[in-house]
Amino acid sequence: MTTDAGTITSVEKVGPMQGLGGLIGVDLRVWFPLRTVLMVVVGLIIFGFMYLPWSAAPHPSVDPGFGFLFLGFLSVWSAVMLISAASFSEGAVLGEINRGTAGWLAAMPIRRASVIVAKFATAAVGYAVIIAVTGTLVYPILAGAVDRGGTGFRATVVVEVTQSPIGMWGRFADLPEFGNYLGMLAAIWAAVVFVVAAMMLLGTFLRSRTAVFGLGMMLVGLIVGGAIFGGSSVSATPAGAVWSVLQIAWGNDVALLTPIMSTLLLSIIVLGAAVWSFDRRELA
Amino acid sequence: MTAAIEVRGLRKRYRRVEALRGVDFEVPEGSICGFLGPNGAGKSTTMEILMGLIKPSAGWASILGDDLDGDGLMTRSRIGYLPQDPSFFPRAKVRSILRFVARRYLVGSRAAINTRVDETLDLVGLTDLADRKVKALSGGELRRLGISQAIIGNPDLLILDEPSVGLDPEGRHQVLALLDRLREQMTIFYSSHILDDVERIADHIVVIDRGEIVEQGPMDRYLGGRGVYSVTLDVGDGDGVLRGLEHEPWVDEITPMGEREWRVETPDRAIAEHRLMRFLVANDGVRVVALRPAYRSLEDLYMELVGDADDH
Repeated sequence: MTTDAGTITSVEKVGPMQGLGGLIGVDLRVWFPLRTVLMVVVGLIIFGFMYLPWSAAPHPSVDPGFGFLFLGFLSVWSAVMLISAASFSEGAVLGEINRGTAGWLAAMPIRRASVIVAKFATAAVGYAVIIAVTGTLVYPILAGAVDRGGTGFRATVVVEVTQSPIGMWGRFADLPEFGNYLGMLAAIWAAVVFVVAAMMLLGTFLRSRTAVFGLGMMLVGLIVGGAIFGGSSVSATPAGAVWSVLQIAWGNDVALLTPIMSTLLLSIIVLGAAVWSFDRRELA
Repeated sequence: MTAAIEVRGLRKRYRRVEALRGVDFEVPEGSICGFLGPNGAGKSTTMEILMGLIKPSAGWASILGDDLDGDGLMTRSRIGYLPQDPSFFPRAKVRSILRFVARRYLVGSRAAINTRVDETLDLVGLTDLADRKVKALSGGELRRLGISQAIIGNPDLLILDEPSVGLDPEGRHQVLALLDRLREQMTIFYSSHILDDVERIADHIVVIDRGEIVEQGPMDRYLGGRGVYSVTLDVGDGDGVLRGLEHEPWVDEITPMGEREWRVETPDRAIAEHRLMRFLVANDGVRVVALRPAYRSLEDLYMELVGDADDH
């Protein structure tokens, strides 16, 4: 076929992930900029709520310790990230099926696997950006609070800017080095990515978005509960990834690599199950 | 004639409901085939099976020579499909939707794809709405977008589930004209409840009722190419005029139907339309009170086959 602007031909071969690039382009627009900016702002607000009472403490002798501030922020923020992953993803697959968009896509020369993988990949990238940006913005302030971050994010800058009295409280617990801190962020991201994969899977075989959301929130509850009460027995699970983060924030020395890798591996298995299930789902 | 679509013994069961009960039909390549049947007869289910959206409980089907058993990706790259309730990315603009679909079916430079998008927008009368978001479109506009995304890939086969629903008379007319224009380029298989439309453009019909095919074949087999007209004249010597008409070589038979009404049969509808009126008005003193087709319409046939849907 020839148009005024040149020749176009019909697609002559299909790849193993036919349509993935186009779908990623579409799904990225869902995440950027609206969701990412929103979630970074939410993260900073959470941090603000944790930080401000300390900076405005009326009595310098009240010193709950930096470890508590750090742990508090990471706990609440991790939980919010997991809940948001369940919320944003509950309609990612089932919403498209119910709306008819999934059927429209599946009637085109697009592999069904591409639909699932594109949604997962864009959510994973979206959360990587959200967690990296929020974490990086928060770190210098935390480092400032410690007054000896050891990464170049010195307290003096923050204290001078904010005129915070926090420096009067003396030295807090050591803030993890920036590299280790990035590892903690990666562990949170891995747990979030697992929730996204699980929500995708639920969306492929359940018929009610309420059920998908309910089960997703139960999963988040299990992860958070496991992170608080599970101890080292859950270390190779998504709950273990969050547990490791909280342990490091508390000042304990635990490995991050195992929970991150095992959680990512679990996510890929769950995603594979989602692809398998979606391939068999009727899209009428 | 090669079949663009061939279906054999297709069955679909949803728990207690058997939506399709062994459907067999063929759609000849290059035809415009109207798929008719009452609500719930199984039209959409059949189309969804053909598009690979749902799996049949039993049976076999082939589209454009390919079985449905495979992944069907290459086959789908040759099919344009409009579902009954089309749904697109709600926040995307009309132009973006078409660009997205075009890139799934076509390979070419960005400029060439954009030109194809513009051509298609023009073809369905959506040029003015190209930058409007999908969620802001009316039902009729959404249907036009559905049709445009089905044809943008220049498919060999077009499967349209009720393309005229929700369109105003002008929109319906445009869709019919569009399908008529596309008949040279592709096979068109479309369902509709608007029997006049089907009668105007389809050359083949498949009628389904309660999950079973009750009739299929070329339109002419049922409606015939014969031109049968009822003529009512206001004239003193109507018989004389009609006797003259009887001697015309293009008239087969004239039958009196009443005092001033006759039934005139010709071998071909087109001949009748061109010559009958000319003959009648050429006779001085004859006033043509009524001249109307008296052949069996598609609606007559449809009602004979499926009756009143309320009876089901």
